[in-house]
Order: sequence, then structure tokens, then C-alpha cells
Amino acid sequence: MRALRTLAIGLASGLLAASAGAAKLHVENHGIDGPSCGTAQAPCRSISRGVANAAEGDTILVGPGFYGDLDGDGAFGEVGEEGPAAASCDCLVLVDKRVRVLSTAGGAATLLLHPSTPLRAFRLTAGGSRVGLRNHGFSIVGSGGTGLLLEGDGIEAAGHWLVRDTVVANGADTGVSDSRVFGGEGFFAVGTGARLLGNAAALAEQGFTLGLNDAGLPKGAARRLERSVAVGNLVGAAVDSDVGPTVFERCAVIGNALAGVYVNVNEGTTASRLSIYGNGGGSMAIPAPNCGVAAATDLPATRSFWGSPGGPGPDPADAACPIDGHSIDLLPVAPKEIRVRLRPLR
Amino acid sequence: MGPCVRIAVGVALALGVGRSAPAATLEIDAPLVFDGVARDAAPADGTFDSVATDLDSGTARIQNDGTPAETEDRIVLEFDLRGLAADLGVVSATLLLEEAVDDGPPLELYGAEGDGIASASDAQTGSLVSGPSGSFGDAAASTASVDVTDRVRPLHAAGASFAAFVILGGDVAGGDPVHHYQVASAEVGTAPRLRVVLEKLRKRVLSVSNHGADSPACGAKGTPCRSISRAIRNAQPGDEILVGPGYYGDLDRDGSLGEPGEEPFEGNSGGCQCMIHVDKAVAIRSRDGAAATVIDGGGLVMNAVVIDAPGVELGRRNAGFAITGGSGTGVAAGVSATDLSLAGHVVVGNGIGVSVSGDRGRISDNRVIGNTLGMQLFGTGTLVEGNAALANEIGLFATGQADFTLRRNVAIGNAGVGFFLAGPALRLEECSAIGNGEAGILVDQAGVEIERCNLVGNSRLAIGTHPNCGLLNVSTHPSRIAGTFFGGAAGPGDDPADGVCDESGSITAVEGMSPKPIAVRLRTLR
Repeated sequence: MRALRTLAIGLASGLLAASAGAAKLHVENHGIDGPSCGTAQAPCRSISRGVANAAEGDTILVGPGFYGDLDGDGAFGEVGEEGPAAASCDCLVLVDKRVRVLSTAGGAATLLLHPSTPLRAFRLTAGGSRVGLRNHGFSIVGSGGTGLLLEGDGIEAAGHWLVRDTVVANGADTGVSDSRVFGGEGFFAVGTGARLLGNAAALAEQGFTLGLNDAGLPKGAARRLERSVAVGNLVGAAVDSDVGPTVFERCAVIGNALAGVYVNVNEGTTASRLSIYGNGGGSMAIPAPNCGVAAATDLPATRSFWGSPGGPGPDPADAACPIDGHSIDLLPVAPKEIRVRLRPLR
Repeated sequence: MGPCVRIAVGVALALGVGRSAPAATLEIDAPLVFDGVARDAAPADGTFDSVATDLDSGTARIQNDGTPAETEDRIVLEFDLRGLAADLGVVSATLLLEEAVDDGPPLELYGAEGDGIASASDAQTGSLVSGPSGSFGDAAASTASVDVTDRVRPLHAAGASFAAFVILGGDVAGGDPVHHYQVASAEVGTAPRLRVVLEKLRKRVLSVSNHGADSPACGAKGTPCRSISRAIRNAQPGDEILVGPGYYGDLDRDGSLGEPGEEPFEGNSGGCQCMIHVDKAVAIRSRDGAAATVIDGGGLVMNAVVIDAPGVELGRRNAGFAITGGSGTGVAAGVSATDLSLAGHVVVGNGIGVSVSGDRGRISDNRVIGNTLGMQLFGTGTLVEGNAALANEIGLFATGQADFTLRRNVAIGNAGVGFFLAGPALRLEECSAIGNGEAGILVDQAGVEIERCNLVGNSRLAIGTHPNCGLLNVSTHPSRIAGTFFGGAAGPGDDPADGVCDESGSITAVEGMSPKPIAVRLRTLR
């Protein structure tokens, strides 16, 4: 047992350590930006400068504090501030090389304040880059924009607290895990093979969206939502367009106003082991009140708990609501709640 | 002769959702011990130093300072119930004293009728615990004491023995006199004994779920309530309310509260102007944590949650709520909300995130983000620990009157002040005030003790006449700051370090600054 624990500790600490040959650059609120900043003794002030000074494969360690428009004057890129490329990337922090950006103290102590412009807070365009780990993420407090935009392939993001902001995983095989969204538009897994794992969305417009509400996205590896929680959103989780295989697996979709899960025309969606109840209470519920799942396609939604041991039904259970003559395959139903335990987050 | 301890655990009684009932009894029957030795009779001078009764899981003790009881003794019953609290789920305690005069039976309740007391229960009950109900799950709060000098002294002087009864887990006042235990008559007058009966009233757990339905009887695991408010109505003091994941508030989002299953609006006319009103000593926690359990006032109410009873527990770490939509306050705990435990919440987008006015509160492991004022804290004996205030207008405002400690908190990126300290007895330890628009710490009205903090990148908005202030002291009383990191190895100074700014007439002693950042590590939250 002790050996296992030692191994686990070693692995965890290794995640923060740079790989052989790669460097660690430091960013602190008491740092000063410059072409050579980034050592522990002379940290940078801005994450953007840390990224600029980094090489491929480096890790940027961001200390606790405040990052963004430091003097609050609405202009970006001034000394020590984020957003030196705001005009071109429409973002505060552009990660355009394969680096890892990690906070040292976690989201509760590391804040990126994101005003309405530029539109994005973090924008990652380099494949294989990463922002955050569980317990090493950021708080991104916005006003309705996109807090995390993952555009390159294979990008990973984890450990973030977003308030009034949105997460968009555009690249192929991107992953977002162990993050929280309060308000905003929720999480979007747009790229093929994109995975949303262990996240929670509350009070957002659409907690989780697999695909995008536009036609024409490529079909390929399944977009996946797993072990996540959607509560108190307008819609809990959705597939809005014909995007091919999409998977909802072991999620709690509870107390969302319009519907729990809404699947539009897509034919490749499967859902299983969900807890679906308390949804569809809104006066604008789709397509009718009390719908745990509404589907305008044939949809398997098996092994799920609907708020009652007997499966879907009237309140206090949720109903299954096929649309336009389609069917929802329910059996077997889960007689007891599927519990989804999120991992604690710093 | 060591204390004789007998533990009898009674038969647990089956419980429905009805009234709490006695479920188990621990009985401690031990001889009075004076100076560690059992005596055959009460001491003539009325002196007794120590009466100790030990359980593996708790102790009860009478002590005094060794002077005659008739004069200036202070006699205190102390109970350390940590083990009992853990084993039995004890949540509250009430003291009964019973005398046995050596004239012989019958036993009489001390201070019963004829002593100007209306009823036995009135006479005998006394709040034993400094944090009465709801605080016993927490080991640190599970000790209790009560001064019984005035009650015990005349008994002792008369050569009588007495029994002390500690009733755990329920509200004895007005309850049945089920807690009478006779002191063994053979021992009266010859072998004074302390007899403490610890009786647990089994705590109930009421369930709330998004697949529940409200009714006067809801709350059992198989028939959960839909609203938290209904569970509170159905609960009794000492009960626990376990809230499942989901959404609590205006379920149909029609801008009106109080429809079936919704939390009600307790109105403006004599009400709490709130949605959820915690008016009894219950423990409310979420099953799956704040990320999965939302209380939303929807901007429809002044206060999303109001607490105005002592001994309430709202949330625990990993068992709190996301609380939003209180146009005035997210959680408002009034002066009557003493001994409050508030933990594990993510409080977002309210006027004031958390306001606590009662004494002896413990506010821990919360995140307050994007409120006008993150936390507003009054009272005495308060501990504020492990919280984070981010992106509020002001982070934390505290004005404690005595014994008020803020430990291991962070205030980051607030538009105004990080920590606003305005009380005579505040102590700030292990904090981070970083990147706030105005001063990291503002000291006003009274001197403050500050130790081991990080003050970096504050006063970034350069408002007013004090730029670059990590600490701004506008009090006329001296303050002290020690062991703190100011952003540079040399201590306070110009950018990128923070300064210490004393307004005219203010004096801040800076002692032993830290050349490197202080690690202020918050605990994780579900």
C-alpha cells in the first residue's frame, strides 16, 4: 500500500515537473515582464510573457494572484498585463506553442478577470498544449464570453472555475476535465473526439453541448460527455445538429429548466447510465413540461434513473419525450440513482 | 479507587419521521473523587477539587479552585464529548441537575416548585454547550461547560449529593421528564457520587431531492421533500437535512416563488425577505457538494438564505451549495445565529455573498466570487478559515469585537479592498491579499495583529492618495504586521513590492518580514 501511495505521489508531483530538457518558467504577481523573465528569481508578471519566453515543451508555472487588465482602464497589453496580442487573437492569453500553463495554487487563488472584450480569455491554438490540471487551474471570471477556447488538436484543459464564461473545445481530440462553469453558455465539445470528463455546469444556457448548433461539422471519433453534472441550466446537455457519434455516459442531469437532455436530428447519439430527474419545469419546456430526455431522433437512453424506480413517468419522475414519431429506447432502466461524484478541486 | 464507569446502551427505538425519541443511553455512575481519592462523605469545608468521570469517548468533570464552596468557589461541569459525538451523532446537549438531600428520599429536582421556578424542566435546563445544537459533529466544538456554582453549592453545603444529567441530541425544555435517574439512596450522605447520564435522542436525517414531493410528512429517504424549506419545516432541532443534487428555487423560472416544490418567498412584511429560512438548529448539507447543488434566489428575493437560530450548520466542506441570486445577500445570518457553521459553499453573484452577525461562528472553506461584497463578518469568538474571495467589489469585511480570527484566507482580484478590518480584536493569520484594486488590507477604527501574509500587487487601480499599498492603516490605533511577504526580499517598498501606508496618526509596526511568499494552501472543494 505504501509503495502504491509513493507511486501516486510521485506521479502527481511529476505532473508539475517539466520533462527532461524542458524548462519551467515562473509567473508571479511580484514579477516583472521582460525578454528574459521566467526564472524563479526573476519571474514574469504576465502569463502572456511567460508563454512568449517559453520554448516548445516548457511548463509555465503561474503563482497566485490576479492576471488581466491590471489598471482596469480597458486597454490591454500595458506593462505586466495580459492581452499583448488582444487585437489580433481577440484574447487575453494566446498559447500558440506546445506548452503547459499551470497555476501553482489552484483556481481558488489564481484569477484571470475577463471583461466582455476581448472575447476570449485563454485561447490555445497549439496542438498538444495544456492549461491547468486538477488543483492547478484558474478562476476565470467573465461577462459572457469564452473563457477557454481550445482550437488546436489534442489540447487538454483541467481544474478551472469559470463564472459567466464558456468553454469551447474546438480541436480534434481535445479534453476538458475537472472544471466548473457557473453561468455563461456552458461547455462545448465541438471537435471530433472531444471529451468532457468530470465537469459540472450550473446556471448556464446549455450545460453541455456535443457538437455545435450549426450543421456541417465533420463526423468522426465520438464526442463524449462522461461523469459530469448538469444542474440548473436551461438545458442540461444537448446535441443540436447532425454531428455523428456522440456519447452521454454516467452523468447527472438534474433540475434543468427546459429539458434534461435534448437531442436534435443527430442519429449517432447514445446515452446510458444517466440520472435524469427534476427537469423540464420551465414554462418554455421542450417539447413539453417534465421532459428528462427529448429527442428528435431515435435514441437509446438505457440503464438510466428517471427519478422513480419504475422509469420515466409523471412528476416527480421525468418523462421521456420522443419528438416527431421517433423513439427512445429506455430498457433496462436503473431502479436507483446513478451517482456521479465529482473530484474535489482547489 | 478509580471511578466506576458503567455504560449501558439501550435499545434503539425505531423512528419514523415523527418526533425524535430516546434511542440510546450512556450512563456514567462514578463516585465523587476529591483530590483523586474517593471520600466517604462530603468534605466539611465544602471543598472539592475535582470530580472526574472518564469514558473512552468522553469525560465529565466537576472542579473548583480549592477554596470553600460556600464562599468563592466556582463550580463548573465540563464535558468533552468528542468521542460521543462521533459515535452517536450527538448534536445538542442540555443540562439537568438533580439533588438528593441526605434527609432521605424522595429525590427532588433542584430548584423545583417552591423555589420560584414554574416547572421542573424550567428549573433544570441550562444551556450546557457554548455551541449548543448542530456543533457536535465537529470535534473542536464538542467540549462544553456550564457554571453550576449557584446550584451545587447549597446542595453540597447541606451534605447532599446530586446528579447531573446531560441530555444529548434533543430539546429538553418542554419535553418529557424522561431523564430522571435516582441517585442510589445508599450512597446519599455517605458516598457522594456524581452521576451523569448521557442520553442520546436519535437524530433524524431528512432527505430532499429533485425527485421528491413536498408534504407535511416528507423527508424520509423513500419519500424525500422537494424543497429545502419544507424539510426545515418538517425537521426538529438537532435533525439533519441531506439535500440531493439539483436546483432549488424558482423551478419553472416564471419569476414567482412558492409554487409546488419551489422554495417559498417569506415576504417583506415581517418575514425574512428570503427564500430559505433556517429558523431552528438543524444541520443542512448537500450530498454531492456545491458544484452539483444550486440554491438560486433568481434575483427575486432580498436574501437567498437567512439563518436566525443558534447552532445551525449549513454545509460542510465537499457538502455545501452553490448560492446565487440574492439581490441583497446570498447567506444572511443574524445576531441570533450564534455558533453557526458555514462551510463548503460557492457563493456567486449576490449583493453581499455571506453576512454573519452572530457570535462564535465558524466560516470555512467557502468561495465567494463576483459579489458586491464577498463576506461581511461581525460577532465575537469567530473563526474565518480557508475561504477565498475573488473578483468581488470588496473581498472580506470584518469587525469583530473579541477573539476574532481570520486564518488561511485569500482575497484576490477584488476591485476594492481585499481585507477590510474594522474591529478591536481582529487577528489575521496566513493570508494572501493579492492583486486587489485598492489596498490588500485596510485597517480602520482599531489596531490589528497581522502575521504571515502575502501582500502583492495591490492598489493596482491607483485610486486615492495611497498608491501601491499592500496595507493601508487609517486607524489611530497601532497595528502590527509580522512575517509577511511584500513582493520583494527587502520587504515593503515600490513596485513590484507592496508598501505599508500609514495615514496621518496611524502607526503600523512592521516586524520580521518574509523574503519569500508564504504558502497559503486552501483545501479542495467538491
